[in-house]
Amino acid sequence: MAGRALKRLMTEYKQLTLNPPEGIIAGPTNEENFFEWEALIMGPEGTCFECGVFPAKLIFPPDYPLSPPKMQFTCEMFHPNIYSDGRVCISILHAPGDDPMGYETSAERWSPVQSVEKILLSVVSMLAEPNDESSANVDAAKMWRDDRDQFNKIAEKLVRKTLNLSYP
Amino acid sequence: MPVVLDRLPLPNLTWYTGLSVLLLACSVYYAGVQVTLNPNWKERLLEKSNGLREEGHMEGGGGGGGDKVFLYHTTGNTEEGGEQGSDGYTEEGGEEGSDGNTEEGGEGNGEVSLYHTWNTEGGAAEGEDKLSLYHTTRNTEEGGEEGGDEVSLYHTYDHQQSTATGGQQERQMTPYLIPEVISFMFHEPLCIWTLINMAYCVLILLGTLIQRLVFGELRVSEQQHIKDKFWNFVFYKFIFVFGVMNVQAMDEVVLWCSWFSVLGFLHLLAQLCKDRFEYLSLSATTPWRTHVRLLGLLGIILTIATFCLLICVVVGCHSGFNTFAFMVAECILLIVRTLYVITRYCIYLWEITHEGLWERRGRYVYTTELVFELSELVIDMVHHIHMLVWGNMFLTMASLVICMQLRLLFYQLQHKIKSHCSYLRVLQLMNKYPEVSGDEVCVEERTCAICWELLGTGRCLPCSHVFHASCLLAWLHQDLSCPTCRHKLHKPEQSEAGSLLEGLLPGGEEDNLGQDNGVGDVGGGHSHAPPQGPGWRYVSWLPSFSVEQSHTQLPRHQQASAQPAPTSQLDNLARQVQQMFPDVSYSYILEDLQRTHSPEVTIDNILEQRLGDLPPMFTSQGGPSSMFDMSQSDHRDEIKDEDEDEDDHFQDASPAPQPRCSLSFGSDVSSCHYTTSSEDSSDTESDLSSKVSDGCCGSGGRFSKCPREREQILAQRRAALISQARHRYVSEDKSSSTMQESSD
Repeated sequence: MAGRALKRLMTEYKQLTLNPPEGIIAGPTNEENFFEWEALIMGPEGTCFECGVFPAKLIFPPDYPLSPPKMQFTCEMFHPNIYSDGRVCISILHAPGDDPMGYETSAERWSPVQSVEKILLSVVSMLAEPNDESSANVDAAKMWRDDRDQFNKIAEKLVRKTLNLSYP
Repeated sequence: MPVVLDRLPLPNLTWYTGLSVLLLACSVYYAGVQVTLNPNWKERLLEKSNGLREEGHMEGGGGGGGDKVFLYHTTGNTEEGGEQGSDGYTEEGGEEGSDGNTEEGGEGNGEVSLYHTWNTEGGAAEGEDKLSLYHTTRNTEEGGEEGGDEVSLYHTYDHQQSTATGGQQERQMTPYLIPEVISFMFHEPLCIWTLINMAYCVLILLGTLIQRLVFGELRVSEQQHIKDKFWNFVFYKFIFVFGVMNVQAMDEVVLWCSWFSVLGFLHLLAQLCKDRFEYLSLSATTPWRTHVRLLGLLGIILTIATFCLLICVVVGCHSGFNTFAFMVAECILLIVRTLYVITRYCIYLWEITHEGLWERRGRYVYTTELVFELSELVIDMVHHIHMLVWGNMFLTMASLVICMQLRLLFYQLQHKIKSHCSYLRVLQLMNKYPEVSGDEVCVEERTCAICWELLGTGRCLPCSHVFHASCLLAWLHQDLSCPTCRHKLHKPEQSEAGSLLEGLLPGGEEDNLGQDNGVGDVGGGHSHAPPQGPGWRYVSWLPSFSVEQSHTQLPRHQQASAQPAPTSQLDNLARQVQQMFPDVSYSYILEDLQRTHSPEVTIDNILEQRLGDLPPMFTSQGGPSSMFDMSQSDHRDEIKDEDEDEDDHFQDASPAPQPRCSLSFGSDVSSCHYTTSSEDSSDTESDLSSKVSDGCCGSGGRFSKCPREREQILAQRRAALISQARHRYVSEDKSSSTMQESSD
């Protein structure tokens, strides 16, 4: 199994290296283990996460692409769809069978035609437009709905943190 | 408390080895002394054992167990703390011994407290046949006075010799006596224990050696697995030896223990190999030497296991079918497991060394997996049932443990069979879909969307998406829908297939994946998902992404597929491309863009024309080269103009609909590269990194063949992105603050 997964990951890595989508860098930082990638995602423009560079870890199963990878931000995040431990909750990362929240149709879930690039783009769009129907972080979802200013402030702080800049 | 336990110094391997060797030397010396001093030791031992047997018969097992052997009188703190289980015996022996020789027993135990006392009940009761070792002189003399056959050691021996047997001639130690010494050691309990201890020591040393040679440092998960496996094995074998077999004779215990020690050792090694193989298969950079070493070790394990099988047969001829069956079960399990790992390994190696898709591979992999796992489960189950029936002990703890294990095995077996049934059904279903060759498919679908490899022949689903048969099979086993469009692969008119699926889903799916697949959806009207798949929904907000989205799976040369670009946009793109290649004429770029409709392809064209005749700058340098052959086109260097104005660049990096390769931040990237390379300059790799920084300052950089170079490029690109973001953040901060100031 792993051989095929390795080939496909290699192809994806190659594509992501040669034609990277803007603001996204992903690849295995240590090729001893090709199934663990690290991604850098730049916060989308015009959002509260703008300019932040958020590191995340992608862990691929040995039967990739039949099963989705797991994605987890390794920096502090405050977002309705990101658990407090950094795990990302988007439907594209859920295997077709399981439905933890009971709201997605299987059409939104993982399928082998998805790719790392699509996942990361989805995450970028998730950063831009949180989906507060399925909140992984209830506090963040509440704040996003009710107190957007406060949310933006926290996001700004996080952005500065990722850039190693001190808060003014 | 556990913290304290963790901090306790574990017995160091060096110390343990030294101690074992010392003990062995002592016992050899002792044996040598015995043999030289007392040539008739064999007869004496024989007499003694005869006498014992007679007494045993006479006493009829009085006092609690006839020929029971008491071992290991560990009164002092001997080093073999692990074998303290004999304390109970010791006390018992002491009590009974005091019947015959009250004073002597008390003093001896109190004063000597050394090492072991080999005591037999009968002997102790009569004050005879006591073989107490390492006694003090006084003690021995007392023993001698009592006239028993007490044998003591060292300096006291000759004294006793003269009193007890007398008239023996001392022999000189010669090489001819070595076999006799060895056979003496096998008759002398103390020597046997030191020998066993030494054997374990050698086994541990061997294990450490193999670990150093083949595996190197063990990973944490491997250590954990080994530990679990070890204790599991010890636990079940303990249950087997003392619960099922109910072995009581010491030599039998020793034999079973040594048998299981060898097998357990091999099992642990096989487990380690399996873990390591699974880990290595995740890596793209494993050198061949590692594979060879691991496979070699697996081969050795297999050979030894086969040899063990022969031993089983030989032993089985002597001691009957049951013993044979018990012995052989573990042996065959080991062989099956090892063979399984070897087969998987070979398939894996074949897979990564051969380009293209091995169409029937999936079938082979599945069959081997099925055969090996099923046979393993069946053998284990039969073994357990045999134990349960043979032991004839339905109401003991051992039977409980075995029943629990049986239950687990049964569920695993059931699961396997169910999953296989669902596999067969999917296979049947798939054969209904027509087979098409890659040439018949439209250009965009020349690659299989599952594995991203070129499509030779594939199966065409009703929704006209084509995939490799093996890829499709693997996916359909999980989910019965088209991977691309989510079209449910179930149609009302296919009544046969429908009934198949209804049978398949509740059984196969759920058990297989532990997931609740929407069975209802299958029967219900198939709502057609948007053909772009879920990715579309998420990326639609970004205009620049939505265009590229559909191209991700396509190979480069096909990306030219008609993508309507308005002329103004084309101009825009052409200008951008020209920014990157100032020396290429605008008209040429525009012309090319009109032809290709894709800036990337145009850039590629330009690059290939410019650099086609140049040798690739980077070939893999010494390091472990990847097993993947990257096509030659990947070696071109995407050369960038570095004297681009940085301010320009920052304006460019903003929202203009960028082609995917955001080449505009190239200059930033390159500047960053130089800083990293200068930092590295003390490194031995400064050479490499400066080359890298020359080469990869283009948009996404190159895709090198050498893994280490790739890692380096990735690290540089990451650093570049961060510094770019920081730059942007700071400049935007400034601009916003200036805006604020101006508004103030």
